[in-house]
Amino acid sequence: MSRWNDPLHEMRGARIDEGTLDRLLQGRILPDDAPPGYSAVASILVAAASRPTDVELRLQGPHVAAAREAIGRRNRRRRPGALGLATGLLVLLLLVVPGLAAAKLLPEPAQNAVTTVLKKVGITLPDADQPTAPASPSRGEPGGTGVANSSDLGTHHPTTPSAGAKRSSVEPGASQGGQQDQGEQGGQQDQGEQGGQQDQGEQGGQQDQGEQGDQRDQGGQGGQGGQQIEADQQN
Amino acid sequence: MADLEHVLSAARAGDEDALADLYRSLYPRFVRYAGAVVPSSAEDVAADAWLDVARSLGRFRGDESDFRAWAFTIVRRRVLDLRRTTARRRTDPVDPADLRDTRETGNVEDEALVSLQASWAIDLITSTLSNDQAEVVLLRVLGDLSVDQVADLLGKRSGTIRVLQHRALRRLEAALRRERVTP
Repeated sequence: MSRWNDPLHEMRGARIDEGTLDRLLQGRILPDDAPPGYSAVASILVAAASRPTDVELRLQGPHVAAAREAIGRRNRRRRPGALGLATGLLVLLLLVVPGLAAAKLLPEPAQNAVTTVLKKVGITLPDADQPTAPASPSRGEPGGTGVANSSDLGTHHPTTPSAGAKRSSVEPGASQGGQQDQGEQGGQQDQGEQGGQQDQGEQGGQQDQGEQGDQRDQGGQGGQGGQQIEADQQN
Repeated sequence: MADLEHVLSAARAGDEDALADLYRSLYPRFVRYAGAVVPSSAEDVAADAWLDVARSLGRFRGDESDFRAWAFTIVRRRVLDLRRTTARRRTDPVDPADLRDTRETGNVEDEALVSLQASWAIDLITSTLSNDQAEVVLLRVLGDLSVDQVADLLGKRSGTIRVLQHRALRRLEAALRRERVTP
């Protein structure tokens, strides 16, 4: 076993401990401070990890520019995510707002604005100041219009009793007007009149409101005739 | 490098100075590492790895040591990809022995002390050591990685890495000693 100061021992290189080896590999031991025999090794390791030279950095400009471009592309690709979210919210809004407007659940200014906008694209919604119809006009049946006018009809044409009353037996939506008429005139009606009123209701649904009174009168008369025929057929 | 967290944050936003800072700390080491493994394509591999790092900055989480390990994982993956591609093309890799045979050696210690260049040192390491030993030494020296980080990167146990690096330095020392005493 050689002594520590044996020149041959130094030439062969000393056994180095774990900590020294780590510091050598990290370039923290300069050649002069290296263990015996390892100064050249320390020089090699320090040189390998030396500061970059200008030659090695000659492509820094284009490489950094390429990296910036790559990062920019990546960041731009992320934006459509937020844009898509915003678009989704907008679409949802476009679906919900007309729905609320149709149900007249929006505040008056908003309701009017939405109605105006939608009217331009051919969609008619109720205005905020338009009174809500008691019945459901959206059914599109003749009785719907007839109901709204049934009370008027009853007032203006007392001799044509209970158009609404008769219609109320035909269409549930007409029940209110029908009952009013019934209160006034229902007791005076017979079965034939009822039949006439049914006919009248069908006619009224197909005609303008202003004409409905007359039409209902006619219908009532026609209905009487029709009812007589029916009664004959039954007999 | 300045505070890594700030540099990374700025670099993720595309800040040129921050990217240049990262570039100076990584790219030359990438080139040296790739030059030791795939000499003919070192700059291409390093450039690809640098772009990979830049693109993936947003996903990195960790401290400076983790960052180096992460970056060298990327460059090593690039090296392995190139090796696979090269193998498919049936081209012959350069034999390290050939590199060693063509190198002129004189008084190694004097040269090392006076004008050692990084590439020269790395060539000496790769030509003297086995592939495993050279890779461990280069990852520890160039990547400034710990034993455990190198073990993770190479898929080996920490004990194996310690043995490899011990043997590597002893072999390197012996080779340099022979060069010194050889007339």
